[in-house]
Amino acid sequence: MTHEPRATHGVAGGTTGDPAAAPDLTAEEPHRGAVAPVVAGVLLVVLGLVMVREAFTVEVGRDLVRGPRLFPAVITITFTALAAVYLAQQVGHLLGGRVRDGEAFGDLPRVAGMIGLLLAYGFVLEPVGYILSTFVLFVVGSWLLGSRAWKRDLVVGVGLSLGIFVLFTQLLAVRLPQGVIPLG
Amino acid sequence: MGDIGALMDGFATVLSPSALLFAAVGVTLGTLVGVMPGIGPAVTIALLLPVATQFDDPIPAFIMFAGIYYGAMYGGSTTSILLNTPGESASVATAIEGNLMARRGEARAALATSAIGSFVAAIISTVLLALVAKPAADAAVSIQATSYVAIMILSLATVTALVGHSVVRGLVSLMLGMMFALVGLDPQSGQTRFTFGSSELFGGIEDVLIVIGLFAVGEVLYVLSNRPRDGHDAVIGLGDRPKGFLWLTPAQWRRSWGPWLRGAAFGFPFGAMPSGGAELPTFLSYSWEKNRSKGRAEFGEGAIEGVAGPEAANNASFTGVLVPLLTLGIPTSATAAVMIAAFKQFNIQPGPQLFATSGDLVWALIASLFVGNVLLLVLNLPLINLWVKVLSVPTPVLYSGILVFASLGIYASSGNSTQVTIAIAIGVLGFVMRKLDFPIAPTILGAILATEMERQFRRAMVSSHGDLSVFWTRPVTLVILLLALAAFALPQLPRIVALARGRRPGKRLAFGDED
Repeated sequence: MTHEPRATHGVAGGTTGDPAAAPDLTAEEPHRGAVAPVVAGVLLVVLGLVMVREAFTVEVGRDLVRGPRLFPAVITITFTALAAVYLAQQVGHLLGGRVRDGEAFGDLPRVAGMIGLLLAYGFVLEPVGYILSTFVLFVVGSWLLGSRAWKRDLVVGVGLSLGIFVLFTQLLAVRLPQGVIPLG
Repeated sequence: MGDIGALMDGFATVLSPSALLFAAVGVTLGTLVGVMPGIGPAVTIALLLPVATQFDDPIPAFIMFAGIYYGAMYGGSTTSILLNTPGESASVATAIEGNLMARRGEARAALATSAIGSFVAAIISTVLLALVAKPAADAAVSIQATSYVAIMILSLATVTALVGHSVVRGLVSLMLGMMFALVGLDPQSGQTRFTFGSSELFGGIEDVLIVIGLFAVGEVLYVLSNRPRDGHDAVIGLGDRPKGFLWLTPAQWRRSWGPWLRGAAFGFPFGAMPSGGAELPTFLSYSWEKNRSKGRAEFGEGAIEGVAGPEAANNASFTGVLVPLLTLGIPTSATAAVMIAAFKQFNIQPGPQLFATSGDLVWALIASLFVGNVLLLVLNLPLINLWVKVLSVPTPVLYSGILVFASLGIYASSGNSTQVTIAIAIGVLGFVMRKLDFPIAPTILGAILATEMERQFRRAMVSSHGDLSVFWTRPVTLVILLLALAAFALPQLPRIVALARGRRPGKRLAFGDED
C-alpha cells in the first residue's frame, strides 16, 4: 500500500489554497485494494448485532415508550442499519476498484507496541508507583514515536515524571501511587 | 437590574488575588497546551480537566477553566500562523492568510491582529452573553420536554451533518457515542444496560475517559502510525519588531477593526444558536472579507483582513456556544461537550435551572471570561517567544508528553485499572476512526447528550401518557424537528446550487471536527 501519510498533526490535510472552495479538509489520494474499510464495516455490523441483542435483554418496564429498553433498542438498531449501509458502500468501492474512504493503516506493529505499553502502564502503575512507570512510559513512548535522542528523553522523562508527581501530590493534593520510590 | 448586580458580585469574586492567580494559571496552561501542534481546544481542556477538578469548590475551578477555554484558542491561532497546522478546523482560515503574512515577514502583525481581534470579539460577545444568558435561561425553563428533545436532535443533526465527509459515517459515530452513554445503571428503572454482566461497568463510562481516549490517545496512535521522525516542523521566525502600536502599523489598525467587528457579528449569533459550531461563521467572515474588504486584492498573499475577521468570528462564536451550554445544557461543539463533562465532575447540571441553583457560579464564570481575556491580551504577545519555543518541541517528545498527561487524566478521574483499559480501548477506536475518516465530534456529543435526551424523552412520555404523537402535533417541536432534517440537506447546498446554475456539481460542504 503506497500511500503518503498526511500531515502528522493538525486537522487533516494541508491548508494552502482557498477555504471558500475547500473546507473539504481530507482530499485523500486514492489507494486501491485496501480492505480495511470493509473489515471495519464487518466489525461494526457484528458489534451492532451484539449490542442489539444486549439491548433486548433490558426489560421493557411499564411500557415500551416510557421504559428503559426503547433508547438502547432504537440506537442499536439504527447503528446496525447504518453500519450495514457503510459496509455495502465499502464493498461497492472495493469491487469497483475505487477505495477512497480513509487511509492506509501504516506502521501497525509500532501502534500495537504502543497499545501494549499503555496497557502495561495501567497494570504496573499501582505496584511500581507513578514516577518510575511514567518515566518508562515517556522514554519508551518517545522511542516508539521515532525518537533516537536517548539522553534528551531520559532527562525529559525524569523531569516530567518527578515534576508531575510533586506538583500533583504536594500542590494539588491528588493521590498518585508512590510505589517503590519513597517520595512525598 | 438584578443581573448587573449579580455580575458585579461575580467580578468581586473573580478579582480577588487568589482568583486572579487561578485565572492567570488557567490562561497560561491553556495557551501552553493549545500552542502544541495538533492539539485543539477540546483536547487541551480534556487534558487539563484533572488539574482543574482537584478543587473542592467549583468556583476557582471554573475561573481557571474560563482561562483554559480562551487560552487554548489563542494558542491555536499562534500555531496556525507560525506553523500552518491548525489544531482545529475553525482556525483553517487563519492558517492560510496568517501563515502567508508570517512568510512575508509580518508574523508579529498577524499574531497581533489575531490576539487583539480575539480580545475585541470576546469582550463584545461576553457582554452579549451576560445580557442574553439569564433571559434565555428564564425562557428555557418553560420549554416543553418534547421541544427539549427536538432541540437536542437539532444540535446533534447539525454537528453530524456538517463535520466529516459522509453522513453515514457521521451518524455511525453519533450512534456509537450514544451507546457509550447508555452503559451502566439506568437511573430511573435501576436496570443495567450494556454492562455484559460486569459490575465495574455499572457506574457507566466516564465522559472524561471518552474524550481523552478518542482525542488524545487516538491522536497519539494516529501520529505514531504515520512513522514520525525526530525533530519538529519548521517554525517561521517572528522577524523584526515593527513600528506602530502593539505590533500593528496605523494602516494595519485601520484595516483590522472593521473585520474584527464584523467577525464578532458573524460569530456570536451562530455560536449562540443551539445548532452551533464555529466553522460556519468563520468561513462566512473569511468569504465576506475576501470579496468585499479593502484588502481583498491581497487575499492569497497574506491579507490582514483574512486573519482579523475569521479570528474574531471564531472567538465570538466560542463565547456564543456558552449560551446553549449554560441555558439549555446543550453542547454544540466538542469543546463545549468537554466543558459539560467538567460541570458534571462537580455534580452541576448546566441547563435552565443553573441560574437558580448555582447563580453565583455562572456569574463568576461570566466575569472570569472578561478577566481571562484581559489577562490573555496582557500575557500573550509579551510571551510570544515562549510559545515559539513550545512549537519547537520535537514530535516524539510532544506526543509522548501528551500520552503522559492523558494517562494522568485517565488515572485521576477513574483510579481503577478497568476504566484505564476502557480508555485505552476507546483510544484504539479513536485511532481507527481517524484512519477511516469517521468524525470524532459526533461521538463525543452523542456520549454527552444521550442520557439527558432520554431523560427528557421519558418526561415527555410520562406527561403525554405514552402518546408519541406529541412530537408532531406540537408546532414548535415539529418545526425544530424539521430544521434538524433540513440540516442534512445543508451540506448538499453547493451541489444543488451548482446543478441549478447548470454547472458541474461542486464539492460537498464539510468541515473538520477537532474543535
